[in-house]
Amino acid sequence: MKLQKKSLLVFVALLILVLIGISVFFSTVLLASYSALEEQYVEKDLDQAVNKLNDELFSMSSIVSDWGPWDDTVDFVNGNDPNYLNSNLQPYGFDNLNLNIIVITDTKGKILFSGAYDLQNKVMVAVPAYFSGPLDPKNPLMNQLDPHKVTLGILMLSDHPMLVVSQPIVHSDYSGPPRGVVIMGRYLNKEEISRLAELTQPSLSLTRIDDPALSQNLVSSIRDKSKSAPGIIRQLNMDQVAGYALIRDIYGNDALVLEITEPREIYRQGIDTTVQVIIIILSGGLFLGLFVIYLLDHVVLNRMRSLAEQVNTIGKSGSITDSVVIAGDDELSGLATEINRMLKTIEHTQQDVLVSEARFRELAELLPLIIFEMDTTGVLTYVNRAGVALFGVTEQKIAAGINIRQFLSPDNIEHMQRGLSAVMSGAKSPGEIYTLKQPDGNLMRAIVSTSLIHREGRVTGFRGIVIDISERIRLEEALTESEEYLQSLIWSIRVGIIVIDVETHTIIDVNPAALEMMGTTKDVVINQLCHKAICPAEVGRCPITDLDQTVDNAESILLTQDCRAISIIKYVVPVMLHGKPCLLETFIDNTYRKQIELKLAESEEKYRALTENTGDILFSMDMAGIFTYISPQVNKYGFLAEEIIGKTLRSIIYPEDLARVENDLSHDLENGAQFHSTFRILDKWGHVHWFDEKGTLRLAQSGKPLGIYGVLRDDSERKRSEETLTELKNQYMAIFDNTGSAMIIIAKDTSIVMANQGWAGITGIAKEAWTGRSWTEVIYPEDLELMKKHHSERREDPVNVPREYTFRLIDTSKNIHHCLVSVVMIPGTTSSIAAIVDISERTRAEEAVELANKKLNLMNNITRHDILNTITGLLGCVDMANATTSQEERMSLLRDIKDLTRIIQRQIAFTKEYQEVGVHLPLWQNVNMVISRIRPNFEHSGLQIHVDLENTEIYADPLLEKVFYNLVDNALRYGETITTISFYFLIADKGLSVICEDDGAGVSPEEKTRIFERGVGKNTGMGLFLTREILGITGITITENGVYGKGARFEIQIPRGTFRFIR
Amino acid sequence: MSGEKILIVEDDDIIARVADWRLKNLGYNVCGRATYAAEALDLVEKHKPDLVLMDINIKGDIDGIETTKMIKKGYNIPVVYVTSHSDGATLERAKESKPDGFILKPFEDNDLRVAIELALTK
Repeated sequence: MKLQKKSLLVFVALLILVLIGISVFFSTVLLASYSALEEQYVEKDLDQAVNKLNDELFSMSSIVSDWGPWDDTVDFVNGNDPNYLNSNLQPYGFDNLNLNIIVITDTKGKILFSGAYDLQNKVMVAVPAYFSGPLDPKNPLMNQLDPHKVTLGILMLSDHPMLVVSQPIVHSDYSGPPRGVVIMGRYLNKEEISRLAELTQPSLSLTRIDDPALSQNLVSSIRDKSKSAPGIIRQLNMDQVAGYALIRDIYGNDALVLEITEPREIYRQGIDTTVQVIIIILSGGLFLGLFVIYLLDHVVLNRMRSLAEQVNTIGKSGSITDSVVIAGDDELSGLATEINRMLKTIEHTQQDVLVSEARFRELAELLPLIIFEMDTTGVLTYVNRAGVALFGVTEQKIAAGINIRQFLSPDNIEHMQRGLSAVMSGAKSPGEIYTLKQPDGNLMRAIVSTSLIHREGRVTGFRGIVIDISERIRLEEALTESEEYLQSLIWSIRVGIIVIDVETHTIIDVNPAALEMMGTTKDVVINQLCHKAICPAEVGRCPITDLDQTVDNAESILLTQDCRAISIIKYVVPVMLHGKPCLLETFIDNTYRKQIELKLAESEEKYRALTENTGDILFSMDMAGIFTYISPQVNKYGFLAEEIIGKTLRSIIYPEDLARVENDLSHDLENGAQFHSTFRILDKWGHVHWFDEKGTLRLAQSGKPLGIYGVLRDDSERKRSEETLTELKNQYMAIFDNTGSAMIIIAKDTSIVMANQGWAGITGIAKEAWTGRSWTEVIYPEDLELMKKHHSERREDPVNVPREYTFRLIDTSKNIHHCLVSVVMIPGTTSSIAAIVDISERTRAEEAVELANKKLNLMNNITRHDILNTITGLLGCVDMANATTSQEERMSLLRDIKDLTRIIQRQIAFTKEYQEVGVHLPLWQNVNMVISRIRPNFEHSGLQIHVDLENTEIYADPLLEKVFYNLVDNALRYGETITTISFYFLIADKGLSVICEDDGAGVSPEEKTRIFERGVGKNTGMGLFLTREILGITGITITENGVYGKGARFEIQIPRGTFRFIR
Repeated sequence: MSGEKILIVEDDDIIARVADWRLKNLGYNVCGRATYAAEALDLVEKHKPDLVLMDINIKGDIDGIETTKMIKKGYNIPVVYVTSHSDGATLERAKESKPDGFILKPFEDNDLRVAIELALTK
C-alpha cells in the first residue's frame, strides 16, 4: 500500500475514533448532567404542588380559626343563640368561604349542625355519611386539647377526598373549656384539582392509593423514597417526565398519590447542544486532517514516490549504471546519494559474479555427470546438459517449476529428505544412492552428492552431482545372484561333490550331500588324501591322474567314515579352479536304487502269488465294459478265463440286478475314479452267487481313461450271515422287550443304550426317553457308589465282580423299589446287559417275617419272665396259705392265688394273640374296608364313626383289623365323654399319616408314650402294645399327639412304598 | 443262720411279699425292701445289710445289674440275683457284675437258703 493511501486511511480511522469518543463522552457526561438538572426542576415542582395542597389547608385553617374561638359559636353550642344558624350558615356562607362542608359538634362528638354545599351548582346537598352521625371523640378532628391548635389534613370520603380543618369551640378570647369543635371541608374533586393545577403546573392529578389502576411498584418506590425525598421522578418517554409524591390523610395513612407531568425541555436542550458540539469538532478535525495530508503529500510523499519510481525503474531494467535524482538538500536527497553509491557497488560485484558463473556453467555443461541446483523445497533451478539429455529437464520446464521429487521413486523421497536435512545441519553429503525415474520410464540407480548454496549469508538451496551407477549395480547383482544360485545348487543337490587337488590328491572342498553319504563332517574330510577318505584305489594308482582312465557314469565304491563301502554312480572331471588343476568328483548313492530293484522283484513275486491264490477274482476291462483280463479263480464258477475275456460285464450279471448296477457304475463314473457295486451272477450250474465288485479307473499319463481294474469278491456267505443276523436281532429284540423283567443295555459311561418296557415300568420313565441317560439317575443314593464301583470294575475284570446283587431304585413317584440285578458283559464290547427284577414285595415280606420272628422271640422271653414271676408269687402264696393258722389270712391268700392264676391265664391268652403277629405275610389292605368290618362291633355303643380315607391301601400285617378295633375300643373305654371318632389321612414328606381322632377325654402328657408299653392300661394293658407291634411289622409307627382334655389323636405314620391310592 | 440282715430289691409286690415271708421263715432278718436303684442304695447305706437279694428287672432306668455294680463297688456287700431271665445276653451281662449267686424263679425256701448261705460264706 502506498504511503499516501496509508496516511489517508489512518487519518479517516483516527477521525472516526475521535468522533465516537466525543459522542460517547457527551452522551454520557453532558446528557447525564442535563438529566440531573431536569430531575431537580421536577422535584422542585413536585414540592411546590405538595405545598400548594398544604397552602390550601392553611387557608382553610384561617377560616376555621374565625369560627371556633368565637363567642357566638359558644352560645350556639350552649343553646343560647337560636339565630346563629340563620345568621351565619346560609348557602351564601358556604359559597363565600369556598367550603363544601361545615359541621359543629359538642365536646362528645354529637353533631349540632352539619351542612353540605355544592359549589358548582350553588345548592345545599346532603351531608356525607361520615358526618351524618356522632363523631368518635378519638377522631383526630375532635382534638380539643389545645384551643389554639387547628387540626388539618385530608379525609378520604367514599366519593372524593376532602381537605378538612377543625378547631375547638371556645370563647373569642380562648377562655373557658372547649364546647365542641367546628369542622370545615372542601372536596378535592376534579374541579378543585384543575384549579390547583392552574396554580402550580399544567399537569396535576391525585389518585387514590387504593385505585386498582395505580401501579403497586410505583407506590412501593414512592414509599421507599419518601423517607429521604418528597417523591420520585420518572422519565415517561423522550418528551415527558413525571413526579410522584405520597399524601397522607388525617389518620396518618397513605391516602393519595400526587402526580405532576412536565415536558422534557431541559433534556431536549441537552441533546441539541451535544449535536452542535460534535458537528463543530467534526468540522474542525476534518479541516485539520485535510491540511496535514496535503502538507505531507507535497513535502514528503511525492518526493519519496519519485525516488521509489526511479529505483524501481533501475531494478526492472537491470541497468545498474543509471542513477537516481532528488532535488533539495534534506534527508531524502541524502538517501538518493546513498542509493547511487550502492548501485555502483552492485555493478562491480555483478560483473565478478557473471565471470564466475560463466566459468561454472562451462564446466558443468562439459561434465558427463548430472549437475543440478534446487531451492530448499526441492524445486530445480538449474540442470546441466547431461541432466537435460538424461531427464529432459529443459530451461522451460525449470522456469515452469519442476521439483526433484518427480524423479525419485516414492520410497526414496523420505530418504532424500533425511539426507538433505543432514546436509542442512552441516554434515557432509556422503553420496546417497537413489533410484531415479527417467522420462522413458527406465530407472536409474545413481549416487547423488549434495552441498548447500549460500546467497547473501543464508542457505537458498542445494547443489548436487548425480553419478549414474545403474550398470555397475546391475552387474554386481547379477554376479551375486549367479554366485548364490551356483552355491545353493551345489549345496542343495542330492549329488555328492568333492574337489580334489591334483598335485596333492587332498580334498579341498566337499558339499553336504557328499558329507552325508560319507557319514562325516567337513572339517574332518578337508585336506585328507582322497585315497584314504573316499577312494578304494591305492596311492599312485589313481584312475584319472595315474592310470589315465575316465570315470563317467561308472559304478564305484565310496568309503564311509565308519569303514562301510557303499555303491555309487560316479563322474570325475578334471577342472581348473583358482588357477589350480583339480578333479571334480560327482557321485550319487546307488544303494536305494539297488534296494528298489530288489523290492520290485519281491513285489512281482508277491503279486503273482496273490493273484493266483486269493479267493477274489481280479479283472480288467476297457471303457466299453469288455473284459480284457480275468484271473483263473473264475474257474470255480464253471467258466474259463478265455471264455470270459472279450465278453461284457453285463452279459454275466443276473438280469434283475442289471439296471441297478449300470446306474451305480454311471453314478460312480460321474463322481470319481472308484466303482463299487453288488450284484448276482449265475454260475454254470445255475446257482446264484452274490458278488461285491470294487473297481478303479485306469488312466493314461495324459489323464485319459483307459479302462477299469477291479476285484470281484464272492459275498454270498456274508449275505446269508447278514440275513441270519437280522433274524436273530429281531428274535433278541422280541426277547429283550418281552422277557418279563426289566432289561437295559449299558455303555461304558453308564449311559443306557437301550431299555425295555419292564425298565420303563419300574422307573416310570418311557423306554425311549432312557436312551443316552444314565442309570445312576434312579439309584438310591446309599447304593450308588457301590454300583458305580461294580460297573467300573466289571469292565476291567468281569470275573471278580458279583454278577448278581440287590439294590434300591427310586421311581418318578419317589417310591423305593428293592431290585435284584443280574449283569453280564456283552462279549467283545465295553457294554453290559442288565436284567432287573423288582423284589420289593418279597423284600418287605422277608423283613416283616424277620421282624416278626424277633418280636416273637422277645415276647416269648417276656411272657416266660412274667409267668415265672407270677408262678413264684403263686407258689409263695400256696406255701403261706399252708403255713398260716389264720383262717382269714388263708382266705385272703387263696384269693391272691386265684388272681395270680387269672393273670397267668391272661398272659397265656395274650401269647395266643401275639403269636399271630407276623406269622402271615403282609398284605395290601384297603383301610376303608378294614374299618367297615369292625363297625358292627360298635353299633350299639352310640359312637359316631366318620371315615374319610378315599381308596387308600396300606401294606400291613393281616392283623391290621385288630389295630383299628383296638383304637375304637380304647377310645370307648377311656374316652369318658366321647361321642365321635374320625379317621382321615394327611400326606407328608415322609409318607402318609392316617389320623384317628376323637372328642373324648384325651391322654395326659405323661401317659402319651407309656400307653404303648405292655401292661399299661386299665384293662389287659396289651391293646395298644399289640397295635404298635402289628403296625411295626411293615415299618409303620403310631404316636398319640392329641390335646389332653379335648380328645385323643392317634397318628399312624405309613412310610413311602407301603401305601397306595387305588383309582 | 444267725439272723443276717438281708435287703430285698424287687418291684413286684407279690414276689417281694413271698421273698420276705420265706426269708423270715428261714431265720433271716429282712432289713428292708426297695423297688428301684436309688431306693436300694439308700437302704444299703442306712442298714448296711449282710446280703442283698436283687431282682434284675426292677423299676426305673437303672436295672438290677447296674445297681449291683454300684453296691459292690461302694459297699462290697454280697449280692444274689433273683431272676427269671435265662437268655444268654442277660446272664452274660449279669456275670460281669460278679454276683455272689443266682436264684431262678420260681423259687422255694431251699433255693433261697442254699444260695444265700453260699454267698455269705464266700
